[in-house]
Amino acid sequence: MKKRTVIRKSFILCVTLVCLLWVGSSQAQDYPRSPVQIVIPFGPGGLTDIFWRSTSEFIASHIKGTIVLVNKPGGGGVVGTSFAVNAKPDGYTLVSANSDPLTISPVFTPNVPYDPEKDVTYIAKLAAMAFGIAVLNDSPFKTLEELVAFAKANPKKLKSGVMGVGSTPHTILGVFNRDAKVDISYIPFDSGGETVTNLLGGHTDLAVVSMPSVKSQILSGKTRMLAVCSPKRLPDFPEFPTMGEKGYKKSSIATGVGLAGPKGLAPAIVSKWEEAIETTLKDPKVIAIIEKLGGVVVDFKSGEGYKKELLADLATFKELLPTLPGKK
Amino acid sequence: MGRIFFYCNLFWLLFSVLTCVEAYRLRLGTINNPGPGFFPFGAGLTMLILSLAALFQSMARKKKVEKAIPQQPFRWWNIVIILAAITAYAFSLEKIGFLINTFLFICLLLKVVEPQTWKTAIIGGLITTIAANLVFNVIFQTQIPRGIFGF
Amino acid sequence: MEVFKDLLFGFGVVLQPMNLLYCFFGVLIGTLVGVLPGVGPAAALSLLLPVTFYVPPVSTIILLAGITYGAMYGGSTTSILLNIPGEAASVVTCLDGYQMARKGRAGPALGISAFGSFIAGTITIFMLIFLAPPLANFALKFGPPEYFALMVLGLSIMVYLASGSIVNALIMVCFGLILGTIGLDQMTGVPRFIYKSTTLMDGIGLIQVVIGLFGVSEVLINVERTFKREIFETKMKGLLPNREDWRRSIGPIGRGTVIGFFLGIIPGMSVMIPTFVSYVVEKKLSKYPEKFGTGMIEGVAGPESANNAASTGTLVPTLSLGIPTGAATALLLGALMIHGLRPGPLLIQEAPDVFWGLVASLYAGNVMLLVLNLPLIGLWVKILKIPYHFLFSLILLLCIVGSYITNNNAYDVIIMVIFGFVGYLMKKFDYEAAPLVLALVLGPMMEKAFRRSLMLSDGGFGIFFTRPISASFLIMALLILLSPLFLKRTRLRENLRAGG
Repeated sequence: MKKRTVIRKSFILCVTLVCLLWVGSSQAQDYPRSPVQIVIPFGPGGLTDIFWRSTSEFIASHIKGTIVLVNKPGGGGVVGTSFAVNAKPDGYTLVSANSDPLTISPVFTPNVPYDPEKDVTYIAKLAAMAFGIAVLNDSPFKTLEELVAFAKANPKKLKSGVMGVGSTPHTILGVFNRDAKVDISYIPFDSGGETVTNLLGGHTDLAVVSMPSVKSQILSGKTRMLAVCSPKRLPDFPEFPTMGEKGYKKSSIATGVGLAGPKGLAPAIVSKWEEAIETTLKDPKVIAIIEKLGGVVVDFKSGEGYKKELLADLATFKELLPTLPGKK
Repeated sequence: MGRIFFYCNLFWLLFSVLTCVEAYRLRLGTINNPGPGFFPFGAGLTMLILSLAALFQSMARKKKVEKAIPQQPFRWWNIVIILAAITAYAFSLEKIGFLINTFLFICLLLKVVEPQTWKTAIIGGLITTIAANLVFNVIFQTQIPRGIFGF
Repeated sequence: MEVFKDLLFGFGVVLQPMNLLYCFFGVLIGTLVGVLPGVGPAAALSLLLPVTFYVPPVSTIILLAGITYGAMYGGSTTSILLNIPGEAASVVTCLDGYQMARKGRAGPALGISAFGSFIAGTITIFMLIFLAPPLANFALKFGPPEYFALMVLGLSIMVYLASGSIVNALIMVCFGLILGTIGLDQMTGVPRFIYKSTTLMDGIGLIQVVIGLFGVSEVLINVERTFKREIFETKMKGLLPNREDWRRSIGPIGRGTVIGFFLGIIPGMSVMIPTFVSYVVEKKLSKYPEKFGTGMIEGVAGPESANNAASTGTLVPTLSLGIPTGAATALLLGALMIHGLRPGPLLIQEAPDVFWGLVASLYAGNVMLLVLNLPLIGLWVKILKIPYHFLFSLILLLCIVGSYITNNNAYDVIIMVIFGFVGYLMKKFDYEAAPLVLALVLGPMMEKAFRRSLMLSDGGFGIFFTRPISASFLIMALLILLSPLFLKRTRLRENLRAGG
């Protein structure tokens, strides 16, 4: 009796081991076998959140798996990013790789628990979001030059609302102040919405905001942009000049949305995603959805390309840190 | 009983001093340009004053009302167990997974805090776990961890 | 009148069977979401966002509006039944609502909550239609100095919120203010009191604190001794509010509506603040202020109405200016944007069916809420019949899951445990939780407004007094803070004595 049970048990054990081995080795082939968790390091309702919720179904269909979006907000994106890059590199926990937590936070905020160069495997870049300098429609400044002239004559008199601290708009203002040799005071707000509200109420003279936050105000004629921070003029708003045209190319910083994972992610998994994302972003339906958000432009880059771009930005920001207003 | 209040106010006093010290290290700035430590320092200072005032009052006046004699024994161990159980739940959630954790948790509580029979505890645990699964995983599709057993 | 014609048109849209169905689902899902603490309407809305692609814009709005209202009402349900605030705004409902449940009056509490919300919602929707544009413009005048003054006013009413020792309540306020500073300083990025914990980077989670302070501590208090007597009175005294209840509640409902709506218009105003204000107002106006906290129905009717009214109020800047005022409205805007609709002044012209459909759907949502929830009261009340030696474990489970789900972070549960213990101690030593919570919410807002104001004025304090709105708020706050000294000298002395 005993012998039979021993044999039976060892047989089951062997079969189990073989199955496990077989499953383990075919990991890359039939990845993803279970839902992949993509961490969104911002709260629900934010632009990044809406972006992913609008596009993840399409991406999921191309990678033939299920994507589950998880919000882990906090610390300007640091909390969620840290959670994901410190997770197991089995390909089932990824993160929306936004520029700010990866290029600005490590410079601006102390004790960020990851190294954007060593601890992250970059998978792809999906889109870029443009910012701009907005003023009320009845503002005395009709062009950027007028603004600069006034600012030069009246240092510290102009107040600019800025969305977020240790964020791209914060950096944009800092760089602009430096390059235009002016001293525009910065008033930080928590979100694009709040920044725009204060501009509308006349509490600030201008505002550095993301295009989606201010889109409806432009369309209703309440505000206009003195310049936009984008390499080319925006298709939605061709009447606004770019910062580059005005001679402030360094201030033309955009923020990117991408996908990344912890270090040590298998290259096979990375290329699967790259392909799926590239295909998704060619779909006109997806492009239409993304562009409806306003000021968001599809900008596909491979993992390597995105990494290069982000690390270059990181270096720039390291250099810029002392000029950032509010950082003494 | 008045003595308890004395200790409470002492606690707040210490807490506020600690806060002020930490806030000071964060840079107070000037009144015209407050730094990160300004606000916590102000709040800490206010608490300091208040707790000092309350401390003196509790020393000066004697509490006349006697606390009613409790009829039942004070089961402090229940408090400890509950808090420990929740803490254990939190730490093991991501390793063991939602369902097993819930089951163990409910069984433990039912058995220990207000002692039931083993049968009741296990049945209660099962019902709760099944219901919880239905509500959280099926209806809400919340992303509670699945743990190493995959469920 | 133009407006009524448009409104009828809107109703026509809403009353189509498909849309009614969406409304029903929205309210249903919203209520379920609201009952679960820690999951706010924002989370539910964002989960459903992909669904909205395949659904026409009007129906999307209807669905989303239903969820928002449903969630609000659901939050009150757990507050009343289990002393667990479903979301931050429901905290005040715990104070008297739960006590009513303890006395066997859970039904009337839930009922007046539903009716109050309905009445407030109906009235405020009409106010929305007629007053939105001028109100929105008024709301824009609120800059940082005005916010600061308003927050100071909010904290000053704390004097009237405290039922017991005022000194203890003030200590709680300071405690709340200090706790509110934990996290990355929003203005300079400097970490404050974080001690290398990523969980604390964004501050102590309000929901976790509140669930711990109210829900968990209540369980702890109940289990510390063998309960010979039932925690909840088994003889249910009626399922719906009776004549007497209605008589007492009409005033609070009306006042709550007004308070909620006008405070809700201010962009960025937490929905929680109007509920506190309403509670304090009712307490002050009542003949028996000392009974508040033991189950006074006015303490439920007023805040619940204020809650709903404030939610409608937050739609004012969203719809007329296209500015989101919180996560839920941001999602609403996002959903609109994905469909190519631009909220803002143009919305009415470009897509009248959407705008009026939304307005009509708000109303329909309120009706649906009532229709759905009144019968459910009987069901909810049965939950209280579960023997406490089993119920308490369910309550704790709900607390744990609620705390975890907000950020999918196990450490949030630890925060809840800590505050559960703290809340338990507070209950034993006569410290109140409400001032703590209010300070925790107001503190950060107040500090930011203060610092921003000084940045705007380059360090000058005059800014608070040269601007009419902020000056008037500050004067009011001063008056309120000084009034006890002049009007109720003996009461204050009594309270100080009690704190010793």
